[in-house]
Amino acid sequence: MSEMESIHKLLRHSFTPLNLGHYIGEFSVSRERDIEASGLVLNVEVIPSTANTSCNFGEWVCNQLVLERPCELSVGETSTEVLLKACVSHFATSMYLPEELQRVIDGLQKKFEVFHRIFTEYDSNLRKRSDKYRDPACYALLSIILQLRYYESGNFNDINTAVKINDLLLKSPWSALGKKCREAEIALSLEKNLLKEMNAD
Amino acid sequence: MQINQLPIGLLLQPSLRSIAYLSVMKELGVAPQEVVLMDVPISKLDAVRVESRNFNYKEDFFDVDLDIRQILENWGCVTHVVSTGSANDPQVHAAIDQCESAQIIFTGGGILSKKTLSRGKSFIHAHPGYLPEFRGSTCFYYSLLTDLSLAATVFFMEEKIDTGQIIARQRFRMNYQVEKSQPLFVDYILDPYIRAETLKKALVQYIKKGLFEQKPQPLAARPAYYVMHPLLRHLAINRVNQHYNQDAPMGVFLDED
Repeated sequence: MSEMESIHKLLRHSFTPLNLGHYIGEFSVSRERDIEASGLVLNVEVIPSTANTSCNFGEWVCNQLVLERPCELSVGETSTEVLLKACVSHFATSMYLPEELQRVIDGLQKKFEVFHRIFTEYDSNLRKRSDKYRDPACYALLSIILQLRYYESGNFNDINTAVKINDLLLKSPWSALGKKCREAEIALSLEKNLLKEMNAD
Repeated sequence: MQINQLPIGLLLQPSLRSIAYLSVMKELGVAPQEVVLMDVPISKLDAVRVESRNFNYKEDFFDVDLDIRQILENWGCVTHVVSTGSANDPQVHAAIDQCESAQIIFTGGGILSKKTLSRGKSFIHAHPGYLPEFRGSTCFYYSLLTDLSLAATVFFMEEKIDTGQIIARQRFRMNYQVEKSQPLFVDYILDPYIRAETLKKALVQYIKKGLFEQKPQPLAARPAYYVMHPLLRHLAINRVNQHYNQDAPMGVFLDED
């Protein structure tokens, strides 16, 4: 099985049988096990709670990634990683994304959902400018932004894609395993926090 | 009961959804005049039938024991059998080209290709979400997860996903406890049921007026939804169970639009 075939298989969720009694518990246990095996360190305790309405998750993520803000740039003039980091800084300063960046994130989300990969460089029309797609930081940053956008909009489409990306961060052939990827640690920490809050609803 | 054949075709991909559609047609005493029947087995049928016996789906939703071929034969529908499961297969195209009906109800899932859509017929689809708010994949889960709402829309298909002219929309209220021993209920009973009930609304309109009245669909504010991860599907079901009120009648009920 080729690398992409194994990734498509991992993300094939249509009509997956439901084990209603145990799935969520089993998912949490399996996540914990995968995180432990990956060597990533999560620090969920320091994430602000959604109960605190004045909290700014973007600012928290920026501080964790030591990002400067605000960061202005044009789509197509830089790498996917730099562009996604600029999106995070926008969340830190204004708690939402400008229209142009929203469209870019929608486009990258669609690319991930359809093709299951994100390239390290795109042009201004979101056509790939590089053949490299194995950088966990790009995936993790997209997952972070989708989770930040979910906090802002409540759109479950965003958290849905983020969970799928996080699956790949731990299980794909190019996973964050053993790479000390700070972005992946933050993406998984946000997911853990979010699921804790959703389960407590 | 006398059956009235309507000048409508059916592109039938055998499934629990097809059974639900035929059930409402039977209830209304109408039948399609012709059917393109894909000769493929129904996924999970035996398991759903066992679950149905345990939870009485026949009384509350639809009869999963209905035999598709038998009912089409009883109704005297002109049936074109094709040995493929894909609605975009050339065999299906050839069968569609033989159909006299200008309007064809599609019972399957997935996307109809440009080639399929451009055969001079109008294809009708029942989507499990209130359009245009909930378009894309697994929308009834998103709808439940967002605000515990449940709805379906019958519309004319276009090349773009879930964007065509709307024929009927129906909202539902759900007060239901999904048991651990009902793993097939949501995907194989609830989803087909809300689609079929909304198709029934469209057919009632057709029977009264002799045509499907249609209205344009407003532009969607959000991108289409993507296939839901099993984790979120479970969270959606948990949310339904958390809101189950045991003092109120249990079931899925038609709501006002």
